[in-house]
Amino acid sequence: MIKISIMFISLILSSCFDKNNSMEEFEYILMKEFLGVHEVFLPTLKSKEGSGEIIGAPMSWVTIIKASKMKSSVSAVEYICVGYRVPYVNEHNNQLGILKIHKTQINKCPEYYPGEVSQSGITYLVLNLTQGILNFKLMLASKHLSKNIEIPLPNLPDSKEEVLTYITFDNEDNLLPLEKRTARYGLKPGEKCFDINSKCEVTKPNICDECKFGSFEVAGGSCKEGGVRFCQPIDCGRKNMPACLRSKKIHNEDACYQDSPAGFCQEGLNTYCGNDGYLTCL
Amino acid sequence: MLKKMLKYRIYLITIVLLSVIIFSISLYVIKSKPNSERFARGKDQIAVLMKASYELKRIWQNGDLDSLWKNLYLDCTKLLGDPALANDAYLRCNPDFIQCYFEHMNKSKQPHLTIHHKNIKQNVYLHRFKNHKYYQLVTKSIYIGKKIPPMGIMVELALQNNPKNRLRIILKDVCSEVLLPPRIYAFGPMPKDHKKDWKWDNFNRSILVDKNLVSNRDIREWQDHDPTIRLGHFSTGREQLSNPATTLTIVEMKKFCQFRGKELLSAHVFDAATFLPMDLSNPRPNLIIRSPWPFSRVSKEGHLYKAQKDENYEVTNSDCAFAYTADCLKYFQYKNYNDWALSFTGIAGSLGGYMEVFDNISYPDQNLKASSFYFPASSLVHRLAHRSYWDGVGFHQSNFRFDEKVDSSILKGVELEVAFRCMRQSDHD
Repeated sequence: MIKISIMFISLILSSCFDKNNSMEEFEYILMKEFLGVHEVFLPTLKSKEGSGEIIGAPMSWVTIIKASKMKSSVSAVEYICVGYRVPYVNEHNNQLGILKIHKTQINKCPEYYPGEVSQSGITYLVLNLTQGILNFKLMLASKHLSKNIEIPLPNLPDSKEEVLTYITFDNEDNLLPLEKRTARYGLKPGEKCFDINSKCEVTKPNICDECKFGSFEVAGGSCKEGGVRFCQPIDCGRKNMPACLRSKKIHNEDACYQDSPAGFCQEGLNTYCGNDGYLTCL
Repeated sequence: MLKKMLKYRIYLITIVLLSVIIFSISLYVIKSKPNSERFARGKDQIAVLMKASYELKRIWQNGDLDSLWKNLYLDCTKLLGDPALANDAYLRCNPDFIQCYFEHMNKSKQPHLTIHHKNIKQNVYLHRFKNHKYYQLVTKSIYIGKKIPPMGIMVELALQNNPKNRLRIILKDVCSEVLLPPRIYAFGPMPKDHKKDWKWDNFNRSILVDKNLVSNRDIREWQDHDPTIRLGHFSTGREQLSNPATTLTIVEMKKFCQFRGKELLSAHVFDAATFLPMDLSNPRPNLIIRSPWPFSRVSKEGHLYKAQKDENYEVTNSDCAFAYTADCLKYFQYKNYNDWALSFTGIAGSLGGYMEVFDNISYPDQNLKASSFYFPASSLVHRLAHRSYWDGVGFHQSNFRFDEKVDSSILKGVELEVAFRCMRQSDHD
C-alpha cells in the first residue's frame, strides 16, 4: 500500500515539474527565435510518400532544420537547430516523438539533442517551407490534437516581401543585427569580392554584399556564375582598367578576346583579354 | 489496540495522500495557467508587432495617402519644404515624411499605430533614437550585412503595454527606381549605316535607374549623415527641398550616388530608358529604329517636331507635360517628382525640365542632356540623344559647350543649373 502510494505521489509530482514545455511556449519560442532568421537549410529527410510524415529509425535524433541569424554583428552568426526524436510506438513501446531547439555558435547541429527547449508527445510530424513560411504540422498523443504552427520568415531571400527586408524580435536591450562600418572592417573599393578563373572555378566566394558602394562585374566572362566582381568605385573603360560591361554571356561561349564587343572602353581604347580572363582597356 | 492503530494508519495515509494530490494539482494549475497565458500573450504580441510593421510599410510605401501634408495638417516645412512645390511621389519612401508623420502623432497625443488584434485595440510606438529621429538611415555605405538594402530605414516598434518586447525592421526604398527591361538597346542617335550602331544589352543582369532627379532633401540627408562632407555651392537654407539638386560638381554627384550604393547614370542607360522601342514584345530586334521623342514612335509628329519645323508654333499648356521647355515657364512652375516627360520605363524628365549630366565613358565630351527650360521648344536640344558638354566643375556658360546649331545666346550669361540621377546594377532585384 505504501509502495503504491509513493509511486502515485511521485507520478503526480513528476508531472508537475516536467521540463517539457507547453505547446504555447514552444510555439512562442519558435516564433521568437525564427523571426530573425535569414537562412534556412532543411536536410533531406525520410518521409512517408503522400503524407510527407517524417520517419526514420525509431528513437533516433534527426536534425530537421538548420537556420542561421545574425546575432551581435554580421560576423557573429547564431545557428538554430531543431532536432526531432522519431517516435517508437507499437504494442510494446510507447515512446513518443520529441522536438528540441538547440542554439549554437558553431556551424554544426548536434547528433544528440540534450535538455533544451522541447515539445514532446508527438506522434506525427510534417514540415515544409514555402514562400517564406515554415510550417509544422504535428499530432500530439495526449490530447489527440493536431496542431499547425506557421512561422513567418520574412528575412529569407525567397520571401514574397520586398519592402520589409529585415525583421528581428527580441526582449533584450541589444537588438541587432546592424553593424556600423568602421574603417578597419569591410572590403575596400577596388578589391575583388568575387573571383572565378577561366575554368569557371570559384576561387573566392561572392561577398559583394559587403562592398560599401556596390560592386562591378567585369566583361568577357562566360561562366554561369558570372564574372569577377570588384567593389565600386571602379573606373571601368579607362586605360588599363577593366572594360565596362556591354553584354553578359552565360553560355560558355568565349567572350574574352581582342576587340570583343562584350565590353566597351573610352574612345580610342580597345578591349583586350587580360591574363585574369576578363576584358581590359588598352 | 493493534487493530485500532492499523485502522488509524489507513486514515492517516489516505489523508496524506489526498493532501499531496490536492497540493500537486493546485501547484500544477497555479504554475501552468499563468505560463500558458504568458506564452499566448507573447505570441499575440509578436502578431501585433508584425501587423504594425505592415501598417508602417503601407505608410512608408504610399506616403501621404490622406493628404495631411498637402492640406497643411502636418507642419513639415523644415523637413520637407513647401507642399505646393512637390508632388505626392516625393513623400513615398521618404524618411523625413516618416519623421514628420510620427512627430505629428506625438504632438497630437495620438498613438503612433493602432492595431486591432483579436478584437482588441493595441497601441504601438516607434522608438525614438538618440538623434531624436524615429528611424536610422540604412545604406550599404553605413552598415554591413546581408539584408542591408542600398537605401532604406530601420525602425523599432514597441507595444505600449510591454515596451521591452521590440520588433526591429528595415524598410527598403522600393519607390524611387525603375527596372530597365532586359533587351537589346542602342546608344546615341541613329547612324546612317545601321551596322555601325552602338548596341548593348542587359540580359542576365538588372539595371535600376532613379525615377526622379536627386533632390536637395536627398543631399541634406547625405550631409546630415556625414558632417565631413564639404559641398562647394550647396546650401539647404536657400533651396526648395523637393527641387532637384543643381549646384553640385560632378565629383560631388558621384560621391552622393556612391553613398546610396549606386553610380552616376550612364549616358547609354539613359538612352535605353528613354528611346521608345518600336516593338516592346521583341527584346532582341536586329534593327533598332528610334524616334527622337520619348512619347512617340513617329519622328514627324508631336509638338516638338512642329515647333522645330515652324518657328511660329505656339506651345500650349498641355504640351508642357511632354517636355517642359522655356515656353512653359509662363504657364506653371517646374516640379520635381512629377510624371512629366515620362519615358516608357517610367523615368521622369526624358526631355525638358532641368539639364542633366551623365557619365559618358565612350564619349566623355557628350555628357549633358541640354534639353531643359533654358531653351525654347524650337531648339534642337530637345531631341533624345542630343548631347552637349559640361566640365562638371562650374556653372557659368563658359563651363558648357553646346552644339554649333544650338542658339546658346538666349542663355544671356546666366549661371546654369545641372541636375543628376543615379543608377545601380544588381544581381538580386
